[in-house]
Amino acid sequence: MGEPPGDGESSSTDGGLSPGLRRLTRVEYSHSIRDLLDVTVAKSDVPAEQLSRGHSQIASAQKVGYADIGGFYELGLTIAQTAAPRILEQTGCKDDACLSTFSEDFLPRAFRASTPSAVLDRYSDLLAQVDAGATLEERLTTWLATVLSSPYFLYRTENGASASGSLRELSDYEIASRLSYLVWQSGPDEVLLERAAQEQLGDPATRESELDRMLSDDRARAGLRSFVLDWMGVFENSLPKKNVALLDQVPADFPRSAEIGLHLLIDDLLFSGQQATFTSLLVSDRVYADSSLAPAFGLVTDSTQHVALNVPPGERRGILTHPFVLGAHTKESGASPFPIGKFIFENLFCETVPPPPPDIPTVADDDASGKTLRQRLEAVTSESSCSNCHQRIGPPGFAFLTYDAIGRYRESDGAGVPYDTSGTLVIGRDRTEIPFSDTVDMLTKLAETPAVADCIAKRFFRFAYGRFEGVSDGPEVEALSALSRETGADARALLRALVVSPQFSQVKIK
Amino acid sequence: MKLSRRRLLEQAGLWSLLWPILRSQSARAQVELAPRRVLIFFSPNGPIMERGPASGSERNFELNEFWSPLNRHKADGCFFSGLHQAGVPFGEHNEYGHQSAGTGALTARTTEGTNHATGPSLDQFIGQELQKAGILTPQRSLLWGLHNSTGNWGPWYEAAGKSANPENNPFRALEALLPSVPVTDGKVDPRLLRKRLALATAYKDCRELSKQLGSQGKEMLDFHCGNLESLEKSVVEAIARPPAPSCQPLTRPDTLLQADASFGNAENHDEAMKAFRSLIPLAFSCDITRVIGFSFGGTADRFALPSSYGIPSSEAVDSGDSGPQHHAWTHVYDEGADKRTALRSFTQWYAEQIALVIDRLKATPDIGGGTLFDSTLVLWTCELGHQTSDPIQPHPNGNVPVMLFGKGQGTVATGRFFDGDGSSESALTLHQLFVSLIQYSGLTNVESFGNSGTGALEWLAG
Repeated sequence: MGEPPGDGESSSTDGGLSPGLRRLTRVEYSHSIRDLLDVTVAKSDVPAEQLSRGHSQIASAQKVGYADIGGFYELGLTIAQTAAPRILEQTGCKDDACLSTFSEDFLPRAFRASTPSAVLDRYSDLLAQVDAGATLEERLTTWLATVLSSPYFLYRTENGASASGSLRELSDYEIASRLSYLVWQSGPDEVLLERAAQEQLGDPATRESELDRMLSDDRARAGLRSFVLDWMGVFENSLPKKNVALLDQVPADFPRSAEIGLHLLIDDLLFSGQQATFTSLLVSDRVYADSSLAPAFGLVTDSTQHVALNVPPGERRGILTHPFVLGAHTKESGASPFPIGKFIFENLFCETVPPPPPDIPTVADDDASGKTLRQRLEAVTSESSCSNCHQRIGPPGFAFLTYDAIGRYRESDGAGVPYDTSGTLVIGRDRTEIPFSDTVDMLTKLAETPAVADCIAKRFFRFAYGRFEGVSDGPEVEALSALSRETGADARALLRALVVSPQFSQVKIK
Repeated sequence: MKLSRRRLLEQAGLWSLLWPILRSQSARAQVELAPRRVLIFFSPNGPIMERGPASGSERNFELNEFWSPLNRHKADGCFFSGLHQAGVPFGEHNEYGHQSAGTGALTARTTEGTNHATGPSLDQFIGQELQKAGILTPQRSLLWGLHNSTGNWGPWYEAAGKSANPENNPFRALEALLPSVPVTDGKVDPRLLRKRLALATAYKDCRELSKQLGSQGKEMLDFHCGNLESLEKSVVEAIARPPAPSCQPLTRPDTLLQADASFGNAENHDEAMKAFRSLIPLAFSCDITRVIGFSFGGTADRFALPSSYGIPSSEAVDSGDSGPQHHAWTHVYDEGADKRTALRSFTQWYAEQIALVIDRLKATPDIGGGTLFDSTLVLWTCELGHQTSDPIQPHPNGNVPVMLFGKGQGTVATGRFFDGDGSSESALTLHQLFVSLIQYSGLTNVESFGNSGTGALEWLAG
């Protein structure tokens, strides 16, 4: 196991270089549509981004295929069919000339840039090219569906203002997008676009004041939440896929309630106090639950709204033990110690875990042996070809044996033997050992481990820039890591450090 | 993007006047031969406890009970035992495991050290190459299934590192087909005209933006632009083509489920399959596409059957899975009766679904007086093969069962059994079979696919 190489999977030798454009993720697409057209789009309806080592934001990993293009067009058409009647009502437009005026206002917001006259003309002409029998509403619908199918909408460029050379200064409009998608996971608003038009965003002080303004906007909650969900490796609600026998034991709205509960907890911990640290998410004993979700935490409430509650001491702590997060890392019906251990190493320590060797040894399905699941798994992975990794990913994985596939606490296994969740974390190249007595002790120590703060800083860097860090990013990443260690990975402090950094307005192009 | 005749006419305002005449001319020019079609099924995980679908000699063989539902089509099939997974040829890489099986099962390529496939899967390759060869259909290819995401291990890929995800909602699948179902009143569905306009405009934007980028961004966006162009070609073909005489329009999929049903839920699998069985003949008889991929599950899929099937639950320990699902049983390291019951049930279910699809193809009239089955080759391959013993290795890439159904307009001698030797060299046979399918589709000059240049499988001709 070791550090990841410098860049995306397909370009591991290109550390620090960017392709110059970033496809909107599903979250970014959904939020952009909400802010542009006031239409709600389910994330699951948007063509999926390609994950790269557990990151949804890596620009170089994205390829938009034939089916994606069809999907984007059909989704854009559905959105346009909803939005067009409202636009006609709001603008009072009765003819194409009026819609052309609307077009001139709308396109710079949709394309997040000062739109060249050739593009404006193309889209103005488009209205007249719709088939002759189409009504005004149908022409506008077609026009809007086209805008939403355009690469100018589907990608945000970070290509720099200059035409050549690898290190470039971003245009002000590109800085506006980088800022708004980092903080809001959505496109720039009119204020940011105006700042861009006046070429003010190259100035770090202006960016910082804009950051303050944006953090006071509710949209910032979605931005940081999106980072946390990426960090936690949660890209969809996995709970509905669990074994039917398990789901039969919880209310039908349990999966949705778990998702809402996690969102509320993240929002609370990152936005309600003076200090908003990512490490606090790992150790909070607070949860948000309604009557459907509370029993999974061993709690009771008759509230149909989510309310803040404290979990029983000793049973769980923080978002890693939240059913919504656990559900993303457990199998349909059982515990998954090794996948969870691998996840801990990759997402909390930023260490890579290689795939299993080809000659996977056999495991006797020998419940009659009297041995526990942990004992049997440790026995089978103790051989030399496995032990190097499994001695490390095993202990943090076994610490989660006390939760079933939908995140409910259980003290002992089917035979009544209490789970042994103690172990030792062995991290880093120097193989630092961190012993822990149980799950809660491990989570507490995780939150205090400098390597976790370092990893949060790295992941935040990747989230902001859409690429893995390269050698030349060393000083910025080290500064972020130092800040993260010092503040317990304070979300606002990390954001501020990124936004005022000179690198925030630059890009290195491959 | 060359659409010159049509665009010139549009710009001159003549298109709406001339279109009915052009369409009529196109209809008269049509050759009265049924199009050649390819239907590819993939099932996850594998039969594990049985070596292959048949035993006996080439022309005197019996089907194994795991595949017994296909007995009624035995005379129309070629059954292959003892083949090695196409993506792990010649023992170069991982001999076992889901990853190499999934990424290579339909791409016939190794991962070359990456975490994903390094080329397109067979269905996508055929669709892409047919279009490049000018054999145009309203949809380049269709990919449907009982799940809607695959991730890094496939087996469906548009290109290296680019997964293709099946559509698992038959209502959405039909909605996507309907504008392409040719009508007989001489009118083009305006939805197609508008879609073409949108794609053509987006294509201009794409090329314009691509010019501004560095090499990596340009490569990424050019892939996007190429697919925009490809989809526009498909739409143009849908606009221009005449109605197929055999086309049987459909207003809703044949199912008791509603459009908002959970189609990924195992309890709905039988009804979902029934719905897709009604769509496959529609897509082929209306010549909307020449190639369909159908996925029962992605690699290592936690595929399950409706609870009414009474599949026993597993107690697998190392994968974290347990319960009555296919993947969990691949992690049970014994040869017990419950394991056999479960794996037989899964395999028989897949076999029955394919048999039912073939029933429909045989019952659907086609151009020239035959049925769709006369011109369709149906391939079924899967992820894993037969476990070896001592020690039991339940993730084998060897001894993968493969079946091909259909006489392919007289090109395939069916009712035969091919007994491979199970070695890694037998991957060659699977490569050749893939090339045969490619050539059958009309790409007669293609001599290789995936990792090795092998030519076609001459054995098929008898």
